[in-house]
Amino acid sequence: MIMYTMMPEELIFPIQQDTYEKQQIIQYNGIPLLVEKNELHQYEVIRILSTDPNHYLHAPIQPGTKLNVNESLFS
Amino acid sequence: MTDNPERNNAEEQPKEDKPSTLMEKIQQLGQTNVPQMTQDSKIHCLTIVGQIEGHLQLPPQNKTTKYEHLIPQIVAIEQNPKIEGVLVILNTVGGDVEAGLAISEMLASLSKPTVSLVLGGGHSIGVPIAVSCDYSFIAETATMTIHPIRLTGLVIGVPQTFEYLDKMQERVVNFVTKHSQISEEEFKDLMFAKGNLTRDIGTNVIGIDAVKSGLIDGVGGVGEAMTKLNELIDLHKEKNEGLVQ
Repeated sequence: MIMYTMMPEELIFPIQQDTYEKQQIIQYNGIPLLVEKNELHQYEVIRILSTDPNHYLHAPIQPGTKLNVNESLFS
Repeated sequence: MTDNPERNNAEEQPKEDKPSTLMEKIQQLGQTNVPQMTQDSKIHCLTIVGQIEGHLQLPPQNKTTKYEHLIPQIVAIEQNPKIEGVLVILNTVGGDVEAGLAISEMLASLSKPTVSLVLGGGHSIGVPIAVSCDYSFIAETATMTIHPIRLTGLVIGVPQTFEYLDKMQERVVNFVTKHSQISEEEFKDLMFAKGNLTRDIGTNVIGIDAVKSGLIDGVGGVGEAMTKLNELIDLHKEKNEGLVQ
């Protein structure tokens, strides 16, 4: 099926709410991180949301690493 | 690796109780080690990538820059005395006009030296963000699409909608002409040019063309941008010292 429309895709095919809830922003030692929860209740780092170039060199929070953080860190 | 299970097992056996960090690193990061910097950086880097997200939250598969993240960061940069300058790296397709203008205004009003660098693309609303800095660079292969603003989604079909859109465009044009060397006439010429983009009006300026039109200050990469930023920081320091005396 080909659909021609000027309406945005999200309006026609609404995104399920849980896809939004999968990603969260946490503070890891004061560094804001965008993380995604996986099935094993680990949090995978997606992106570092800091302006300090040093934070990007922190090995434990490199994008792709899995963090075992407790829920109390969530703001 | 799987076609030789015996050898594989033998290799991994001793490490089983303590998982190999090296293997883990390669799996997760695609590299073995992360380079380290020695001292605290006095230059902070703001990356604006993907779409500039506005009032509507985009689904997580989109790569977005959210203004609610950037604005507090810019406030923090302004307040932190240890930070002396900001490098803004752009590789964006554009996005929400109001969010883009908000970021541009924040950067333009920052009291610390700012240098922007357009890598890859700085399209649409990325243009005002690029010119908002004290000095702007564009990579030789980077492009910037200048086109009229438009609305997506449901629009109320009344003449006022068009007027609102026209005013919004005027805000973008005013901001760009105020913060760069380009004249309003030339910018509008680029914006409404026909035949450059497929089925659209506007222009795609590449590297040196953006500099020639006066939109961007120079062609360069991260090295040039850093040199310029350090130069501006020194000037800023001198000025401040002069004020104290």
